[in-house]
Amino acid sequence: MKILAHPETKVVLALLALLGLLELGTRALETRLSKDVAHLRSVPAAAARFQSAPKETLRVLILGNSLSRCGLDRAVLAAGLKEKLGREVVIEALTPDGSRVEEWLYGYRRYFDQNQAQPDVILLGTARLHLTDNPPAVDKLAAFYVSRPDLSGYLKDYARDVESASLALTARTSMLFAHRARVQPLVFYNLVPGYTETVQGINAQRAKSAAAHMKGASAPPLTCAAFDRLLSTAQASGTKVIVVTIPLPDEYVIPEEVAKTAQAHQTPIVLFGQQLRLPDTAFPDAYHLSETGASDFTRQLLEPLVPLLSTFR
Amino acid sequence: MWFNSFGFWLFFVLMITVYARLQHRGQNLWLLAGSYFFYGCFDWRFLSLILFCTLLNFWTGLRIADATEGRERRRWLALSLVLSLLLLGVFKYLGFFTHEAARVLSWMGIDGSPWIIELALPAGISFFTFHALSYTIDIYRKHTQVCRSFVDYALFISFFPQLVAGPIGRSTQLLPQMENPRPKCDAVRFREGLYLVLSGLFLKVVIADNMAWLASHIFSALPETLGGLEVLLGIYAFAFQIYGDFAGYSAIACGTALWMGFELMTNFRRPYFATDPRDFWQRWHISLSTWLRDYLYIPLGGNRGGAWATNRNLWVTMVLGGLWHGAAWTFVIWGAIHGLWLVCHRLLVGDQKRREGRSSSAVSFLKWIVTFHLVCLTWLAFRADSLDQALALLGRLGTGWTLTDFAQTSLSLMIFFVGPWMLFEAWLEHRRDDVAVTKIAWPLRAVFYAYLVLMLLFFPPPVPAEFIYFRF
Repeated sequence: MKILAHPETKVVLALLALLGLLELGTRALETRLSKDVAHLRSVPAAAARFQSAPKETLRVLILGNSLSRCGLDRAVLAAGLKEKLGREVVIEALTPDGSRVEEWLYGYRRYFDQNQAQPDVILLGTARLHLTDNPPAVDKLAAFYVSRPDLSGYLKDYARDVESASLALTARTSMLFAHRARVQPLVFYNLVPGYTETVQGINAQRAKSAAAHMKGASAPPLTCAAFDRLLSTAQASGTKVIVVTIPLPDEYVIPEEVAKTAQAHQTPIVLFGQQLRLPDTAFPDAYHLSETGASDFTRQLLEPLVPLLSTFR
Repeated sequence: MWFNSFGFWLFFVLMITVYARLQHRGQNLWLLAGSYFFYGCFDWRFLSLILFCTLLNFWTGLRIADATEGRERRRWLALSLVLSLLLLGVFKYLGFFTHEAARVLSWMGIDGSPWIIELALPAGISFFTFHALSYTIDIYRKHTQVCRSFVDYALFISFFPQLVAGPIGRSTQLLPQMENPRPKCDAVRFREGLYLVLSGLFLKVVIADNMAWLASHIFSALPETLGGLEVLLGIYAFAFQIYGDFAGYSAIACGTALWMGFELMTNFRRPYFATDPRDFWQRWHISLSTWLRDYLYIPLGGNRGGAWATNRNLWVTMVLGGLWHGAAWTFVIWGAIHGLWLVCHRLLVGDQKRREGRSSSAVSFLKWIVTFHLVCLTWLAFRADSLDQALALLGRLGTGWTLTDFAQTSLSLMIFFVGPWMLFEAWLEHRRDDVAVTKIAWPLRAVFYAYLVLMLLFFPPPVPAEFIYFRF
C-alpha cells in the first residue's frame, strides 16, 4: 500500500483509469460512431440467418467492398434469382469500406466458415486489383476480421516482425487502439479548412513522384495467395464462388494472375469491367454506381449469373 | 529500433526488468550486451565499426595515461584523433568529397565518375565518434581518470539510450556513472523519467511527424508552384519538425536513462524562446555546442587572440559544426550562416547584455521574434536538397501571399499541434524550470499527461517518419 502513497502512482492509475473508461465507452458506442463497424457487428446476425434458412433456400453471400455494396442491388438480385431459379433466396453481405481480398478471406472464415454458416454461393465483387495480394493494415485486420483460431497463422503470414505483431495484438486487445485511426480524419476533415483539398493535392503529388521514381524499375510480380486460400476455404465446404467484376467509369482488365487462380479452382469470372458501358451519370462520385446504375447493372448481371447457378443445387 | 516503436519498449522493459535485479558489474555487462543488440538492430554489419572505435580509444586512452613524456602523450592522442576522424571521414564524407572531386574533374573535361565512392552511413557514427574523442582528449588534458575496465568504457561509448542520436556524453560526466554503482529508480527519478518519456514521445510522434508531411510538401514541390505564405509555413513546419524530432529523442533518452539511474546532459532548453543567436546555441543541441566549444573552439584559440581571431574561431567552429550534421554544402552553408550571425551579434552587441541586464518586455519580444525567424530562415538552407532550391524557395517568400488550401491547413495544424506545446514551454520559460511539471499537484499533472497520451493515441502522423538525427 506504500506505493499508492506516491503521487506518481496516482498519476499512472488516473491515466489507466481514463484509458479503461475510454475503452469501455468505445466498445459501447462503436456501432454508433462508424457505419462500417455497425456493418461488421451485424455480420454474425447475417451468418445466423444463413444457419436458420430452410434447406431448399439458396443462400448467397456478397463479398466485397463499397463497390459491391453500391453496385449490387440486393432486392433486384433476390427477386431475379427467385423468379428465374424458382427457389427462395437469402442474400447477405460482407462489404466493408476499403476492404480487399485479405479482409474477405479472414472475414469469411471468421463469421461464416468457422461458424458452420457457409452460403451456397459467394458473389465476389471486385475491380482490377482487389484480388491480388497487398500488405494489409495488420491492426485493422487483427481487430475486426481474424478469428481466434486463425490468429497465429495470420501473425505468421502478415505480422512477421515484432512491430507488426505488437500492433496486431494491441489492436486485437483494445478497441480504443483499433479505432484510433478514425479520430484524426473525423476531426480534420470536418474542422480544418482546406484539409481535404490539401491531402488530395499532396497525395497526387506523391503518386506522381512515386510513379516517376518507379519509371523504368520493374514492378513486383502480382500474386494471389489470399484469393487462392479464399477459394480453397469456400470449396472445402462445397460453396460455389463466382467472381463478379463491378463496373467503374473507366474500363479495366482483371490481371492474368487472378484469372489463372480462378481457373485453377474452376471459378467463373463474370466480366463487366471491360464490356459493360454505363453512362457517366451512373457514377455520381466518379467511382461508385448510383442506385439506378446498380439496378441496371444487377439486372444485366442476372443474365450470365442464372445459368451458372441453375446447375447448382 | 526507433524509440517510438513497440519493439523498443518491449526491449526496454526486458532490459530494465533484468537490470533492476543485478549488481553493478552485472548491470554493466547486461547493458553492454543490450546496447550492442540495440545497435545491431539498425545494421549488424556496423557492430564491428563501433567495436573498433571502442577498442582504439580504450587502448589509446590507456597509452596516454601511462605515458610519462608529453611528446608520447601527444603521439597517442594524435593516433586516436586521426584514426577516429578517418573512420568518420570515410563513412560519412568520402562519398561527398569524391563526388565533388568528380565534378571538378568533369568541369576540367575529365570523366570523374570512377572516383565516386558511396558507402552506407552507419547510424549515429558522428555521435559515438565524438563520444570517444571527448574521452581521449579529456585523458590527455588530465580532466578525467583513465578507465581501466573495458566493459565500463565500452558501455560509455555504446549506452543504448544515447547511442545513435545523443546527447553526446562527456567522459567527465558519464564515465563515473559507468564505473560506480548507480542509484535505484526512486520516486523522484521515476517521476522525472515519466515526464521526459511522455513529453519526448509527444514531441516526436505528435509534433515532429505531423509537421513532417507539411514540410516535405514544400521541399518536394516545384518552388514556382508555391506562394510566399505556403513557403513560410512550410519552413515553420520544418522548424517544429526538427525540434520535435531531436528534442523528443533526447528527452526519451534522458528519461529512460534516468529510470536506470543515469543522468544524461539536458540537450534542449526551449530553443525557440531564444532572444539572440548566442542564446539559441545555449539552448539548442547543448551537448554538441558545448562539445564544439570545448574541443574545437578553445583549441583553435577561443577568445584568447583578440577580436579578429575570436570571430574567426567562432565562424570556423560553426562551419565545422554544420559539416558535422551531414556531408552536403547545404549543411556547410547553414553552419557558415550561423557562424556569421554569431560573429555579427558579437560585433554589434558585444557584452552589452551583461552591462545592461534584462531588456524590457517589448524589446525582448522583438528580439525573440527576430531570432525565431532568422533561425527558421537558416533551416531553409539546412533542409533544402540544394543551394539552388534554398534560393528559389527564399525568392518565393516575396510572392503570392494568399491563403491557399495548403496554407490554411498548415496554419490550422500548427495551431492544433504546436500551439499548446509552445504555450506549455512559455510557462516553463516563465518558471525557469525544465521539470516544473513534476512539481505541480498530481491531479494537474495527470490531466497534462492525459492530454499527451490521448494526442499520441488519436493523432499519430499520416505517415510515420524516422528520427532525423539518426542520419547524423
